[in-house]
Amino acid sequence: MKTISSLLVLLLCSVGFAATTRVGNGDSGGDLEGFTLLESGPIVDARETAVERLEALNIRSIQGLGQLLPEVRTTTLYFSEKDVHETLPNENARFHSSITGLVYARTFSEPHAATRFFPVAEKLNQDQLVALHIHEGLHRALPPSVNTNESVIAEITLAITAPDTSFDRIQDTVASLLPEDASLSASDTEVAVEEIEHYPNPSSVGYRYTVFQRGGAISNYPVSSMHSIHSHLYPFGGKNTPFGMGIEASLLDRGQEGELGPLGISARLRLWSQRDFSVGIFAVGSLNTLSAEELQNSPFGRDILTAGFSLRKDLDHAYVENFISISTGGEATHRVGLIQYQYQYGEVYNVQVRGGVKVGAFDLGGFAQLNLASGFGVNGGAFSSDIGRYRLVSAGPELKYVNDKFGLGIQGRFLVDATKGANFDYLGNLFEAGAAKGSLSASMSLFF
Amino acid sequence: MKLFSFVLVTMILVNILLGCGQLGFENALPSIVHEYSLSGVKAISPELNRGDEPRSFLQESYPLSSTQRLLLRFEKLSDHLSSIDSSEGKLLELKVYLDAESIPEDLKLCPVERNWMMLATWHHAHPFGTSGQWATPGGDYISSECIAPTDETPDPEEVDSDEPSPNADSIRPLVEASAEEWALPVRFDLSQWFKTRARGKGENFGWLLTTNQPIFLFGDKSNLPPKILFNRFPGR
Repeated sequence: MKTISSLLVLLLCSVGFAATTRVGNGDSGGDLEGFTLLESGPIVDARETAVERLEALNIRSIQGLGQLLPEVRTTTLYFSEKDVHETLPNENARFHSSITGLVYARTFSEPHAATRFFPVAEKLNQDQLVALHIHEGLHRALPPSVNTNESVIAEITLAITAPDTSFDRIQDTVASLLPEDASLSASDTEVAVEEIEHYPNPSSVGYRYTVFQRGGAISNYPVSSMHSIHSHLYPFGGKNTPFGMGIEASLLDRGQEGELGPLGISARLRLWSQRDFSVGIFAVGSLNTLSAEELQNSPFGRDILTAGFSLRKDLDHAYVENFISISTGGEATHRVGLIQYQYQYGEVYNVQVRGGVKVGAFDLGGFAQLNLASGFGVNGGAFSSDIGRYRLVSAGPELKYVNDKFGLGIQGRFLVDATKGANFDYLGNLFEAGAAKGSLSASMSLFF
Repeated sequence: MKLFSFVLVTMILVNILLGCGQLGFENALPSIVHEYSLSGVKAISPELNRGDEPRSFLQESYPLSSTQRLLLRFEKLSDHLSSIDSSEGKLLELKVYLDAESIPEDLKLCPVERNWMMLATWHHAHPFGTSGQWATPGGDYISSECIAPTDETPDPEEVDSDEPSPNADSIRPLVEASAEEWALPVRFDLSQWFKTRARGKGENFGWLLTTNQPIFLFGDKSNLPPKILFNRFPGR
């Protein structure tokens, strides 16, 4: 990738001309081109790649480049059936035309102008087309005092498309090239700023399969695996504050016949903070008592309400996410033989930290979690056991593939430390922490 | 007339004092034998890995062998602790019925050393905490206090069965004649256990029934479940 990008920069630099993009005043017939709307193909794909690159670089947070991303994303693309030669002053710029003098693309140096591509542009590879999209976008996004200055735009384009580029480097380049009074782009002051939609597809439906790891311990209610399906719909709220409800149903495998597991109902709010954090606020009710008779007569036969929030920050190549929640306590009864045992659960505080690296569409990382419970006790017949306050520390790896349409993931959870020999059975909360001493799970979701 | 009144008043006073136990004649009064079937009956074996294995409780019969043992407990003992009469000559026994022609010589009933629940397995007394695991697979018991069956047989005429209870530790009807024809009753004297463990230390961890000879025992779901028999102080 580095080699390709370096070659692209060298190729583009080797052309080495300066130009302007003003069009429409020629007299050689070059302004009589016929255009068709461009809706697919390598040029359109390159525009998507350019948008992704600009988003990844958080380009809209750089002073003076606030409109670059919307300009690249929304410009209407046209395609001409015949090439034209440089006819306009300064059009032989290194990004605009080939070494033979044919023009790759044209646009107006004003906000929301369309971009027109010429057949010679089809000879460019994807990286070159990405650079061309960004270059043309800069003509429309920069302030009027510099939006026709080809050398300034070329420098910024190179800074953005360089293989080892970074947010800081682009910011420094832009700061050195733009005059102070040009800190706001033309369109910043002239048109309404487009609101970036950070949750284009917040709703999801999905499936998860979880296998619980017993690790030699016996259980008060052995569950070997759990199938669960969920549907989270966000019909309310704004673009960046979607609000919705979700349901989750599960089926338990206990080594004999399958049993209906807990039913979950949730309310969820997501919002994007001004500091580019994704914030989630949720309340989940695990309604075990609405479930099958088997689960009602079990240590899991109680309703649990969990409320909490999450904070997520996505960096260029990493992510960090914190969860904090509290689950209510309660009671459940479990009859074994002729003895009815009564389980008493205290409130549970859950704290989780997730983090990892982003490689393309993959999130590769892990998590660490602390469950702090205020109590757990069992009484029945002549048996009585009161564990009291206890903690569970768990951790595990996770790997996810996520794009706009769907996501796949696998996750492991292992008990690292616990007081008084406790394990996840003590929580009595299959949805939140599962059971036994850990789990392995695989999931898939569709986003819409 | 005066003499008659004196005798009448004296008899009334004696009756009142006896009723209150003030004269120390308590042991002289006839006590009634009560019989309760055990609700804590749990089979353990290396083959039964799950605590809630259906074959390990509420069965018509249970196999016993070197790798198959039976945990027994009178779960509601605490309800009767003060009313059980364990004085000399009084009955406090565990009774089980074997599906066998003779009693195995090594059949013994041993006091369990650790609290357990109906989710017990061969390796665990219960699923909770570090204390849940048996120190010795097969159950921790006090070998020095194991007891062999007694030779006595129960007297059905003494049994009082007028306290019905739907499930746990309920009084069951007397042994059905048809089943008794071929079931072999076996009794264990729990007097010493009651004095040292139940009343002395306040423990009720139950007993472990063991033998190395393969036999079958009538279970808690049969008409001949394991039972506990004891005398009660009258009036309590």
